[in-house]
Amino acid sequence: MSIKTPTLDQLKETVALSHRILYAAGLATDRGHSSTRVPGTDTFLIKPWPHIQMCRIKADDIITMDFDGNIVGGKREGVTRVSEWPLHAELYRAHPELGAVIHTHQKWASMMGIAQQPILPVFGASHSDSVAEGIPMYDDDRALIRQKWQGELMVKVMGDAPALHLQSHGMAFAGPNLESVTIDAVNIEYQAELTWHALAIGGANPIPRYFTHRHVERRKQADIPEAWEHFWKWVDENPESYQVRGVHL
Amino acid sequence: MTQPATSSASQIDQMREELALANRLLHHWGLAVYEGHVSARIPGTEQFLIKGKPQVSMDRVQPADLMIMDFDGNVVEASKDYPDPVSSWAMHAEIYRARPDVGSVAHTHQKWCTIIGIAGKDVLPLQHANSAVIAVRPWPVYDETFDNITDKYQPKVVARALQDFPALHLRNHGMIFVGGNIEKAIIGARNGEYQAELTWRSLLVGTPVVLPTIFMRDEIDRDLTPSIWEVRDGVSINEMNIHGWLDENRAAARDRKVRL
Repeated sequence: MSIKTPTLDQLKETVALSHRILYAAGLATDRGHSSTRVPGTDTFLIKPWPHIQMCRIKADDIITMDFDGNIVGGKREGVTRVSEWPLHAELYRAHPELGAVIHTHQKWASMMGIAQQPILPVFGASHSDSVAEGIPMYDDDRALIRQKWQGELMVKVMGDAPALHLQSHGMAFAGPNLESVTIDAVNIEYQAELTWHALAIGGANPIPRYFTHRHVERRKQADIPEAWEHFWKWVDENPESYQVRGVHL
Repeated sequence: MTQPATSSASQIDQMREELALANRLLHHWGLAVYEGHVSARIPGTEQFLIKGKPQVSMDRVQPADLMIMDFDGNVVEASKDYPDPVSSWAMHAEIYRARPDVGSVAHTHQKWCTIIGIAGKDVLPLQHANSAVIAVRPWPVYDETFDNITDKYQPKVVARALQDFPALHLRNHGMIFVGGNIEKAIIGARNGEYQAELTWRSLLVGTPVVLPTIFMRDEIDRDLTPSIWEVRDGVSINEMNIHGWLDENRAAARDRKVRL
């Protein structure tokens, strides 16, 4: 697939859609946020504050911020920045190649962190790539990431991992593009849910590295996941189709 | 004897709107179906607004359905469709008498909190400071009766058991949440339920890490005031307005896996 640089409007639509997918997948209600870097700049696109249900976020709502917390696009009456903007800014600042960041309080993954149990690659080698190498734990601090120094500390703990536990708080995700980071968040939540259910009746058998390895390698290609293009976009237009689903795949 | 209300008619109308919405939100959030009730003190009086009987699905409660009662149980004003007080009305009255800081009382049988109470454990403050703060101190337990609280004596005991807490386990029965206003009482119920679910799930597979109190300092300060939310850059937030959207969009409220 040839790489075309998306327009700003297209990027805003992607950011809005990411929020709606997180809602549809049950990973977020009104808190939490997705962002994407405006390519070639030190700015990123993110939802504004105050919160509304994330299924209501539209491209026009999205604001542009710089790494120092200034709103440089989309500023308007009654709207300001989310308080945890440094979580995004410091990840982008530290990793020039990084294209997208997500923060949620998704239940299963957060709860596994609280329970001090690892989320294991238990389901489908091709869906386990984001958990196969382990998810680091940020527990130096338990407050919301509202200060630059907190963001810097968090970035150190996260390293190159696709996901990070924020103890007593939630999850952070980062990667090359927002489509793949959104799908990582969904996959990790399902791995966490399945791991928990297996642990609750005795224990969980993880998939050996032998099977997950090539999928971990594949992550370097930074493809747009099929699930985004062919499944979640459709769910966004047909939300009733996804209600009360017992499985995610 | 009933006293004349000192709140204006328009203030009471606005409270009716908000309280009816609060009943419906408890339903949308999965915290109650038809047996719960939320009440609101009418400021400056010994009266409160509460839904009446017969009990109906809480997502049907409308402003005009609510009755005004006084603290002695007299019905001051009621609709003809819902003329009778709920059986445990006196729990609300005694809490208002004992707690001048309380503007709203919510009673539910919400599942996760009730389970933790039955198990004799504490709901722990586990995730996200402004949600976890509801459980910063272990909630007291009322266990003098496992039956409906309908006599003259028990409601006073319930109010005493609540002390200065925002929540009370009614052993083998359900919960009481209180707040300075309606928003705060029902958001407390919602946050308490999420912390309870996390407590149960994390205890089942490991040892939960409790959020240390020091990380809830701001939230504990805000907890002492009627308004929950901070104002940022001149912008504030109203949970009743945010969640009011669910009332018009019920499908979106269904089967939420998270509350944050």
